[in-house]
Amino acid sequence: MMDDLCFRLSVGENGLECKVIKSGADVTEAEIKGDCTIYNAAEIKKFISKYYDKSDSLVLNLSGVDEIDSSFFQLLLALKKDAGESNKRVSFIAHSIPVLKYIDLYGAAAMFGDRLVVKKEDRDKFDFRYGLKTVKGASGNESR
Amino acid sequence: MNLDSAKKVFFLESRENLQRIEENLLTLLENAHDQEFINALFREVHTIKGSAGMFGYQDVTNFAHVFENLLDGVRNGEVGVSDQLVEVSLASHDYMKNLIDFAENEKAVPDEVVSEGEVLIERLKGFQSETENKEKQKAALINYESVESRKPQTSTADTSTGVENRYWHISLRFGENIFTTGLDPFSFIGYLKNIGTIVNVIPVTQQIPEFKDFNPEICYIGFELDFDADKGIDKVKIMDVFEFLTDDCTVIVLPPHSEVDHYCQMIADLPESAVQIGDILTQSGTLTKAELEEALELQSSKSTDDGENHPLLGEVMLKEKMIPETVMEAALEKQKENRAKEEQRKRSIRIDADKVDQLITLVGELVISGANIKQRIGQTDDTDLSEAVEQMARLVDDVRDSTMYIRMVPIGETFSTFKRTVHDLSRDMGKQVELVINGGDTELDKTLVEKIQDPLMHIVRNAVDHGIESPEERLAMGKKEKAVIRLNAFHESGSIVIEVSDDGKGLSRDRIYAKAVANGLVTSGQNVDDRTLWNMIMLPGFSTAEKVTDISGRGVGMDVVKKNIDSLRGVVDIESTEKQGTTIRIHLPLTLAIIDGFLVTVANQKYVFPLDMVLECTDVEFNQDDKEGGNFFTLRGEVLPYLSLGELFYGDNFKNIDKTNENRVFSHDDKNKIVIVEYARKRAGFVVDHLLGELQTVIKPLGKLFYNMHWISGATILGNGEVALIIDVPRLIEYVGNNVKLRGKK
Amino acid sequence: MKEKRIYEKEQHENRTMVQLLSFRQGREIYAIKIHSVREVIDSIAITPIPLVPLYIKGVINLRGNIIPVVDLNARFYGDKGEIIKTTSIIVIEVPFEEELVTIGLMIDAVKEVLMFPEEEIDPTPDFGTNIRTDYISGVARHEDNYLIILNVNSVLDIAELSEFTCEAAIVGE
Repeated sequence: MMDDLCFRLSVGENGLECKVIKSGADVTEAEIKGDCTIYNAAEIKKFISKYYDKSDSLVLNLSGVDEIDSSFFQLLLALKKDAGESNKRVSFIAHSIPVLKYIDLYGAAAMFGDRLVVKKEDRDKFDFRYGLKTVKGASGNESR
Repeated sequence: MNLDSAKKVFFLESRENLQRIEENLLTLLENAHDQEFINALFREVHTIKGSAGMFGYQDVTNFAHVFENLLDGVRNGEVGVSDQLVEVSLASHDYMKNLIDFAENEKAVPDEVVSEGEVLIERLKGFQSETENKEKQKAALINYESVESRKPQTSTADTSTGVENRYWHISLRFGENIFTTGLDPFSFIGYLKNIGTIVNVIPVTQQIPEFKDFNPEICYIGFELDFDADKGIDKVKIMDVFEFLTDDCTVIVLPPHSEVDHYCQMIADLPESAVQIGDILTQSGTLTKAELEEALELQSSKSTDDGENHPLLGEVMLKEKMIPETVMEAALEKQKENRAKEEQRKRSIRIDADKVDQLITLVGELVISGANIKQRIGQTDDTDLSEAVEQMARLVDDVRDSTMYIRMVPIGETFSTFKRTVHDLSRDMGKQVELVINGGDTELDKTLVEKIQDPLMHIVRNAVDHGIESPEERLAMGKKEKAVIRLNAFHESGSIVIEVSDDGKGLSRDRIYAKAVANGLVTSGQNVDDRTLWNMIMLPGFSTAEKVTDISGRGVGMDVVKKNIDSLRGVVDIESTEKQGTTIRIHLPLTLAIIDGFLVTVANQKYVFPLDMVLECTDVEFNQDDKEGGNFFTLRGEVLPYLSLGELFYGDNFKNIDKTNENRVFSHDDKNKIVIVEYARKRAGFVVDHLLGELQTVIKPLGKLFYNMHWISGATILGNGEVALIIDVPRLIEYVGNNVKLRGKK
Repeated sequence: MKEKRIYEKEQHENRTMVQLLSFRQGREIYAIKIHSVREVIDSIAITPIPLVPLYIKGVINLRGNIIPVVDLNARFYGDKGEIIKTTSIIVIEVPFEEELVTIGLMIDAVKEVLMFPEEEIDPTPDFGTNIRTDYISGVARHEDNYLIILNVNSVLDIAELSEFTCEAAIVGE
């Protein structure tokens, strides 16, 4: 209940909140919350770019992403791909259910290579029948 | 674009498709196993089918469908290429052309044509049923994109020609604006779960740029899906899922066990490189390694089908050392050619011919006023101004040349249409003829190309009909059974030469001579040289064909050919050796509208020689003895015939005309000024009063009143508004030759 | 260069009026129906063309177009028409092979534009003329004189006019 309230308070005008938890040359940890659809795509990219360049490793907490569309999925994919090509490390943690749904349907679990946590009670919301094996050539990011 | 103009484009393009179909069919006769031509054929027919359907020409679509099915069979190697197949296909081509003609003229298709189509459809189907008998175990053909075909997903069909994959394969690529349209691919793909099970989805990320260049609002990704459809779900139902995607999206749906070929086509249709897609397909288990390699071999020209600029499959494969170089080299070469052609086509735009003509008229006016300004500037001392004008004049020259160039088109297309003529004619007459084309890329004025078609057609028909012997006769003469007709085009001293030569029996001197005597053209026993004699066959009413055949000899003969070519300011020349063959050579002017000219005066009148026919202008002193023996003079050792234009035009009066009152500055002496010209490999000199120099001229026709005028081919307006007449050099050279020769013989 | 406005037939109290352009050639007054006349020009340089029959006077540059000029005197009487102070060229369009061909007709002097009720034109002249009868399309009385109305299509029959051979063209002459 309390968590819920905090979350709402931190949502910006456009339904999006991006916040840096920890910033450094080695690792930057950030959190993206709220509406991660095409309407905020440019904003999100701007935010990530700022820290992506500065650190060798970027950790994105996606637990607060409550609305997404394919543009956000693509953005995540683009990050992973670029990281693989430029010897950086990008990981996504604490994926929210909407994010997991996209990763599931689009078969990107192995491609992203992050640990996915699906709560027991949410199991039947997902299939995870495929996309669990890395496909060479499908993504530039083969590192785990 | 409104419907009418869209239709116009449809008819235009269909005609082009049909022409390529015909070309490919004729090529197929010689290269029966060339997959490339078969593929091309299939595509052309498919295009007609599709676009005719769009405009509601159902009869065209229906017929094209049957034709396409047969070609698909040929493509898959189920139907062999035979002469009969090509004949039926040619007939099908004719029939479709016929239907499209009716559609364009908005006429109902007459019953007899409809029944002709039914007969053809039966014949086309006949070829297919043969294969069905041959391969009974094989399931119905599935066309790459034909929505009506379906295959049960639990197919037990022999998979020897299809891939192992027992799932539907779906490729999705989206327009780059799909995210902003509010359509999320997630929902389409998710919906598939309602009609089956998604077996595999692979995001295709190759198009995503580096993160710094990444535009999050543009869609770069695509998906490759394997899908296990529920019972009763066919291609249409799957396609329906993606119905709301806009035109810039690509949706390819391949049924289970599709032919490797179709995968190959799909690979070509996708924007990513073949290696990338190939990798995805093999690693996801969609295709086996062997199947992918098979796709490679079949790949041929398909990668040029879409508009994308991705590397050719074979090229990539070669680079990646996936296949031995020797295998690919030939195929690569071919692909490059195809691609170049395709690129050529893509870079061109269609322009209404009237617009070009209007532009040319305007440029003509520009040239005239430019000349006018230049002339006036010559009378002032303002050097800055003259320099500026000089520069402008150069630009005007360039504009003129570029404009004229717009109208230049290669003759090759016209030549190609004769392939069919020769093929049909020789088949009907039981002759064997090969048509060899050279110089197809020689360019000439579009109007000329159009106007030369009929005369050329007549000459080609004549060659097959009268020139070429029957195979038996040829063998008896020690010639090859198969005769050769060569079409050749090239540039030569300011003109374009088109040659039609055959290795047939040649003209019969005796028969033509006899006919010439009978027609009173020569008196019996008179000595006539070959060229003069051959040229007589182009006189009206002169025909030596002993029997009137279906093809030629219907009363219109070489005289019509000559008349047509005359009207284009061209010249026809015949060379022939008995038993060895005949060459008919046509010289045509480069262009019809604007020329560089050389201005002279004769009896105070201004005349223009087309500059590209002028070799030189010089002073000359005639030896009186020369004159007695015919009008010859010697120039640096070469003996040339000459003619005084003044005497030709004004006869004895010429002597009495005072020629010194104009342009006095040019007549420092009393020497004769002579212009040496060359055309159609003949040279002659023309004596004039004064040489005034070069100028640009816009040729204005003299009009119908001067239809029988032989020495003047047109007129031009000088900068000061004065009219100068353009000398018809080709005709005059011919005249000088004949005249001098005959005089000499007296 | 002067230009005369051209009007086609006009309706006048239920009578069809015909507009005519009258001119003098030698001692005769002729007229032609105005609907075939494009314009009348005078004082323009005529470029002669060699080796054509006498009736083709030459060509003129009419605002960038080359127009042939027929000498009416030569056409009618076979004698070269002299160029005098009043000499004018009537530019006429005649139909030939389904298109209109523009030809200039050189005459001695243009007189006036007249309007005639069609019924006052007698299609068959009952007196003799010294020109070919197929040149004449009718006769009308005007101010105590007879006006010979010419059939332009016949006077300027392109098929006939273009039927000539250049004398020098006869090989071997």
